[in-house]
Amino acid sequence: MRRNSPPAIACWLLESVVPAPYREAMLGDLIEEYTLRAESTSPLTASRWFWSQACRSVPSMVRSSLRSRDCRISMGIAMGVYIVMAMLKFAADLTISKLVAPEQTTYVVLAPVVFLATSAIGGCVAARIRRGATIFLALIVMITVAL
Amino acid sequence: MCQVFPLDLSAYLFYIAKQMKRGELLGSLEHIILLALARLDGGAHGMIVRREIEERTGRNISIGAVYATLERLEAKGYVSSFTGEPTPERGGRAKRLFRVEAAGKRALQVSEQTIRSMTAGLKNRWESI
Repeated sequence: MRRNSPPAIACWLLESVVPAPYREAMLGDLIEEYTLRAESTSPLTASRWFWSQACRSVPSMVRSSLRSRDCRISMGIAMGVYIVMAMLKFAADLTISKLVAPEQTTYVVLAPVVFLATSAIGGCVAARIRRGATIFLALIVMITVAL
Repeated sequence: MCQVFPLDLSAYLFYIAKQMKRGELLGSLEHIILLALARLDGGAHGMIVRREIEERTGRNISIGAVYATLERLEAKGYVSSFTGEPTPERGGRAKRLFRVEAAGKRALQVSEQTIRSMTAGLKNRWESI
Protein backbone atom coordinates (compact mmCIF):
# COMPACT_ATOMS: atom_id res chain seq x y z
CA MET A 1 0.00 0.00 0.00
CA ARG A 2 1.40 3.38 -1.01
CA ARG A 3 1.53 6.17 1.54
CA ASN A 4 -1.78 8.08 1.61
CA SER A 5 -3.50 5.68 -0.74
CA PRO A 6 -6.72 4.07 0.52
CA PRO A 7 -6.88 0.29 1.17
CA ALA A 8 -7.06 -1.40 -2.23
CA ILE A 9 -9.25 -4.31 -1.04
CA ALA A 10 -11.81 -1.95 0.50
CA CYS A 11 -11.87 0.02 -2.77
CA TRP A 12 -12.38 -3.18 -4.75
CA LEU A 13 -15.19 -4.23 -2.40
CA LEU A 14 -16.98 -0.93 -2.92
CA GLU A 15 -16.42 -0.99 -6.67
CA SER A 16 -18.10 -4.40 -6.75
CA VAL A 17 -21.22 -3.46 -4.83
CA VAL A 18 -21.90 0.24 -5.48
CA PRO A 19 -24.39 0.77 -8.35
CA ALA A 20 -22.79 2.33 -11.43
CA PRO A 21 -24.49 5.75 -11.31
CA TYR A 22 -22.96 6.56 -7.89
CA ARG A 23 -19.76 4.46 -7.98
CA GLU A 24 -17.39 7.19 -9.11
CA ALA A 25 -18.89 9.88 -6.89
CA MET A 26 -18.98 7.77 -3.73
CA LEU A 27 -15.45 6.39 -4.15
CA GLY A 28 -14.18 9.87 -4.96
CA ASP A 29 -15.78 11.22 -1.77
CA LEU A 30 -14.23 8.46 0.31
CA ILE A 31 -10.77 8.90 -1.24
CA GLU A 32 -10.89 12.66 -0.72
CA GLU A 33 -11.91 12.27 2.92
CA TYR A 34 -9.31 9.54 3.41
CA THR A 35 -6.54 11.86 2.12
CA LEU A 36 -7.66 14.63 4.48
CA ARG A 37 -7.78 12.26 7.45
CA ALA A 38 -4.42 10.67 6.59
CA GLU A 39 -2.83 14.13 6.61
CA SER A 40 -4.54 15.37 9.76
CA THR A 41 -4.25 12.15 11.82
CA SER A 42 -2.29 9.15 10.53
CA PRO A 43 -2.60 6.82 7.52
CA LEU A 44 -3.46 3.95 9.88
CA THR A 45 -6.35 5.85 11.51
CA ALA A 46 -7.53 6.96 8.06
CA SER A 47 -7.36 3.37 6.78
CA ARG A 48 -9.36 2.17 9.75
CA TRP A 49 -11.98 4.86 9.05
CA PHE A 50 -12.04 3.90 5.34
CA TRP A 51 -12.58 0.22 6.14
CA SER A 52 -15.35 1.05 8.61
CA GLN A 53 -17.11 3.19 5.99
CA ALA A 54 -16.68 0.52 3.31
CA CYS A 55 -18.03 -2.31 5.48
CA ARG A 56 -20.95 -0.26 6.81
CA SER A 57 -21.84 0.89 3.29
CA VAL A 58 -22.07 -2.61 1.81
CA PRO A 59 -25.58 -3.52 3.13
CA SER A 60 -27.11 -0.22 1.90
CA MET A 61 -25.44 -0.59 -1.47
CA VAL A 62 -26.49 -4.23 -1.91
CA ARG A 63 -30.11 -3.28 -1.06
CA SER A 64 -29.89 -0.38 -3.49
CA SER A 65 -28.48 -2.62 -6.24
CA LEU A 66 -31.21 -5.22 -5.71
CA ARG A 67 -33.89 -2.55 -6.08
CA SER A 68 -32.44 -1.20 -9.32
CA ARG A 69 -33.84 -2.08 -12.74
CA ASP A 70 -30.42 -3.28 -13.93
CA CYS A 71 -30.39 -5.90 -11.21
CA ARG A 72 -33.85 -7.18 -12.08
CA ILE A 73 -32.83 -7.47 -15.76
CA SER A 74 -29.68 -9.41 -14.77
CA MET A 75 -31.76 -11.73 -12.58
CA GLY A 76 -34.20 -12.32 -15.46
CA ILE A 77 -31.36 -13.13 -17.86
CA ALA A 78 -29.80 -15.50 -15.31
CA MET A 79 -33.12 -17.30 -14.85
CA GLY A 80 -33.61 -17.60 -18.62
CA VAL A 81 -30.10 -18.96 -19.17
CA TYR A 82 -30.57 -21.37 -16.26
CA ILE A 83 -33.79 -22.76 -17.79
CA VAL A 84 -32.02 -23.28 -21.15
CA MET A 85 -29.09 -24.90 -19.30
CA ALA A 86 -31.44 -27.27 -17.44
CA MET A 87 -33.11 -28.27 -20.73
CA LEU A 88 -29.72 -28.89 -22.36
CA LYS A 89 -28.58 -30.98 -19.40
CA PHE A 90 -31.82 -32.97 -19.45
CA ALA A 91 -31.40 -33.67 -23.17
CA ALA A 92 -27.73 -34.65 -22.72
CA ASP A 93 -28.57 -36.93 -19.76
CA LEU A 94 -31.31 -38.59 -21.79
CA THR A 95 -28.95 -39.22 -24.71
CA ILE A 96 -26.21 -40.61 -22.44
CA SER A 97 -28.64 -42.91 -20.61
CA LYS A 98 -29.70 -44.36 -23.97
CA LEU A 99 -26.09 -45.02 -24.96
CA VAL A 100 -24.67 -46.11 -21.59
CA ALA A 101 -26.34 -47.98 -18.73
CA PRO A 102 -26.72 -45.79 -15.60
CA GLU A 103 -24.83 -48.25 -13.37
CA GLN A 104 -21.72 -48.16 -15.59
CA THR A 105 -18.60 -46.16 -14.60
CA THR A 106 -18.74 -44.22 -17.87
CA TYR A 107 -22.15 -42.84 -16.89
CA VAL A 108 -20.93 -41.90 -13.40
CA VAL A 109 -18.04 -39.99 -14.98
CA LEU A 110 -20.07 -38.45 -17.81
CA ALA A 111 -22.93 -37.03 -15.65
CA PRO A 112 -20.77 -34.51 -13.72
CA VAL A 113 -18.88 -33.66 -16.91
CA VAL A 114 -22.19 -32.80 -18.61
CA PHE A 115 -23.20 -30.72 -15.59
CA LEU A 116 -19.89 -28.80 -15.60
CA ALA A 117 -19.99 -28.32 -19.37
CA THR A 118 -23.55 -26.94 -19.37
CA SER A 119 -22.69 -24.68 -16.41
CA ALA A 120 -19.63 -23.34 -18.23
CA ILE A 121 -21.58 -22.77 -21.46
CA GLY A 122 -24.39 -21.11 -19.49
CA GLY A 123 -21.87 -18.86 -17.69
CA CYS A 124 -20.28 -17.80 -20.98
CA VAL A 125 -23.67 -17.07 -22.57
CA ALA A 126 -24.86 -15.09 -19.52
CA ALA A 127 -21.60 -13.09 -19.51
CA ARG A 128 -21.98 -12.35 -23.22
CA ILE A 129 -25.53 -11.07 -22.71
CA ARG A 130 -24.88 -9.17 -19.47
CA ARG A 131 -21.89 -9.30 -17.15
CA GLY A 132 -23.94 -8.91 -13.97
CA ALA A 133 -26.10 -11.92 -14.86
CA THR A 134 -23.17 -14.31 -14.28
CA ILE A 135 -23.22 -13.68 -10.52
CA PHE A 136 -26.92 -14.50 -10.30
CA LEU A 137 -26.48 -17.57 -12.49
CA ALA A 138 -23.64 -18.78 -10.23
CA LEU A 139 -25.91 -18.24 -7.20
CA ILE A 140 -28.78 -20.20 -8.79
CA VAL A 141 -26.42 -23.07 -9.72
CA MET A 142 -24.94 -23.13 -6.19
CA ILE A 143 -28.43 -23.20 -4.60
CA THR A 144 -29.47 -26.02 -6.97
CA VAL A 145 -26.37 -28.06 -6.10
CA ALA A 146 -26.88 -27.45 -2.36
CA LEU A 147 -30.52 -28.58 -2.57
CA MET B 1 -50.95 27.73 -4.16
CA CYS B 2 -52.69 30.72 -2.59
CA GLN B 3 -55.27 30.74 -5.36
CA VAL B 4 -56.43 27.28 -4.40
CA PHE B 5 -56.10 27.72 -0.63
CA PRO B 6 -56.28 31.40 0.08
CA LEU B 7 -57.14 30.97 3.76
CA ASP B 8 -54.68 28.73 5.46
CA LEU B 9 -51.27 27.38 4.56
CA SER B 10 -51.52 24.61 7.15
CA ALA B 11 -54.81 23.47 5.60
CA TYR B 12 -53.07 23.31 2.25
CA LEU B 13 -50.16 21.31 3.68
CA PHE B 14 -52.59 18.98 5.45
CA TYR B 15 -54.39 18.49 2.13
CA ILE B 16 -51.07 17.71 0.38
CA ALA B 17 -50.10 15.27 3.17
CA LYS B 18 -53.40 13.45 2.70
CA GLN B 19 -52.90 13.35 -1.04
CA MET B 20 -49.38 11.90 -0.77
CA LYS B 21 -49.15 8.18 -1.31
CA ARG B 22 -47.54 6.14 1.44
CA GLY B 23 -44.29 5.80 -0.50
CA GLU B 24 -44.04 9.55 -0.89
CA LEU B 25 -43.86 10.27 2.82
CA LEU B 26 -40.36 10.96 4.05
CA GLY B 27 -38.48 8.37 6.07
CA SER B 28 -36.38 9.61 8.99
CA LEU B 29 -33.07 9.42 7.11
CA GLU B 30 -34.66 10.93 4.01
CA HIS B 31 -35.94 13.78 6.16
CA ILE B 32 -32.53 14.40 7.77
CA ILE B 33 -30.68 14.25 4.44
CA LEU B 34 -33.14 16.61 2.76
CA LEU B 35 -32.74 19.03 5.67
CA ALA B 36 -28.94 18.79 5.43
CA LEU B 37 -29.12 19.51 1.69
CA ALA B 38 -31.43 22.44 2.33
CA ARG B 39 -28.91 23.82 4.83
CA LEU B 40 -26.02 23.35 2.35
CA ASP B 41 -27.70 25.59 -0.17
CA GLY B 42 -26.61 25.39 -3.82
CA GLY B 43 -25.49 21.77 -4.10
CA ALA B 44 -23.43 19.43 -1.96
CA HIS B 45 -21.82 16.05 -2.45
CA GLY B 46 -22.43 12.97 -0.33
CA MET B 47 -19.50 13.36 2.05
CA ILE B 48 -20.40 16.98 2.87
CA VAL B 49 -23.97 15.86 3.63
CA ARG B 50 -22.63 13.06 5.87
CA ARG B 51 -20.34 15.53 7.69
CA GLU B 52 -23.15 18.06 8.17
CA ILE B 53 -25.38 15.38 9.71
CA GLU B 54 -22.57 14.14 11.97
CA GLU B 55 -21.74 17.66 13.16
CA ARG B 56 -25.35 18.60 13.86
CA THR B 57 -26.82 15.38 15.19
CA GLY B 58 -23.81 13.29 16.27
CA ARG B 59 -25.07 10.43 14.08
CA ASN B 60 -22.19 8.69 12.37
CA ILE B 61 -23.95 7.36 9.29
CA SER B 62 -22.15 5.55 6.50
CA ILE B 63 -21.52 7.15 3.13
CA GLY B 64 -23.34 4.18 1.57
CA ALA B 65 -26.52 4.99 3.50
CA VAL B 66 -26.24 8.63 2.40
CA TYR B 67 -25.89 7.73 -1.28
CA ALA B 68 -28.62 5.06 -1.15
CA THR B 69 -30.98 7.65 0.38
CA LEU B 70 -29.95 10.35 -2.11
CA GLU B 71 -30.63 7.89 -4.94
CA ARG B 72 -34.12 7.23 -3.53
CA LEU B 73 -34.79 10.96 -3.12
CA GLU B 74 -33.66 11.59 -6.69
CA ALA B 75 -35.99 8.86 -7.97
CA LYS B 76 -38.86 10.58 -6.13
CA GLY B 77 -37.92 13.90 -7.73
CA TYR B 78 -37.10 15.56 -4.40
CA VAL B 79 -33.47 16.19 -5.30
CA SER B 80 -31.53 16.54 -8.53
CA SER B 81 -27.86 15.91 -9.17
CA PHE B 82 -25.18 17.10 -11.53
CA THR B 83 -21.61 15.98 -12.09
CA GLY B 84 -18.70 18.22 -11.14
CA GLU B 85 -15.13 18.24 -12.38
CA PRO B 86 -12.79 15.34 -11.52
CA THR B 87 -9.95 16.36 -9.17
CA PRO B 88 -6.58 14.68 -8.38
CA GLU B 89 -7.31 14.50 -4.62
CA ARG B 90 -10.35 12.36 -5.45
CA GLY B 91 -8.22 9.97 -7.51
CA GLY B 92 -9.45 11.59 -10.72
CA ARG B 93 -13.07 10.90 -9.87
CA ALA B 94 -15.81 13.45 -10.45
CA LYS B 95 -18.05 14.82 -7.72
CA ARG B 96 -21.80 14.37 -7.86
CA LEU B 97 -23.52 17.40 -6.42
CA PHE B 98 -27.08 17.26 -5.14
CA ARG B 99 -29.60 20.01 -4.57
CA VAL B 100 -33.17 20.12 -3.26
CA GLU B 101 -35.91 20.57 -5.85
CA ALA B 102 -39.28 22.26 -5.37
CA ALA B 103 -40.96 18.89 -4.69
CA GLY B 104 -38.37 18.21 -1.99
CA LYS B 105 -39.02 21.57 -0.34
CA ARG B 106 -42.74 20.80 -0.40
CA ALA B 107 -42.13 17.37 1.15
CA LEU B 108 -40.08 19.02 3.88
CA GLN B 109 -42.87 21.48 4.60
CA VAL B 110 -45.40 18.68 4.80
CA SER B 111 -43.19 16.65 7.15
CA GLU B 112 -42.59 19.70 9.30
CA GLN B 113 -46.33 20.36 9.48
CA THR B 114 -47.08 16.69 10.23
CA ILE B 115 -44.56 16.62 13.08
CA ARG B 116 -45.89 19.92 14.44
CA SER B 117 -49.46 18.60 14.35
CA MET B 118 -48.50 15.33 16.01
CA THR B 119 -46.45 16.95 18.77
CA ALA B 120 -48.99 19.69 19.50
CA GLY B 121 -50.11 19.46 23.12
CA LEU B 122 -47.54 16.82 24.05
CA LYS B 123 -45.15 19.27 25.68
CA ASN B 124 -47.34 19.56 28.82
CA ARG B 125 -47.55 15.78 29.12
CA TRP B 126 -43.77 15.34 28.78
CA GLU B 127 -43.17 18.00 31.41
CA SER B 128 -45.48 16.21 33.86
CA ILE B 129 -43.56 12.91 33.47
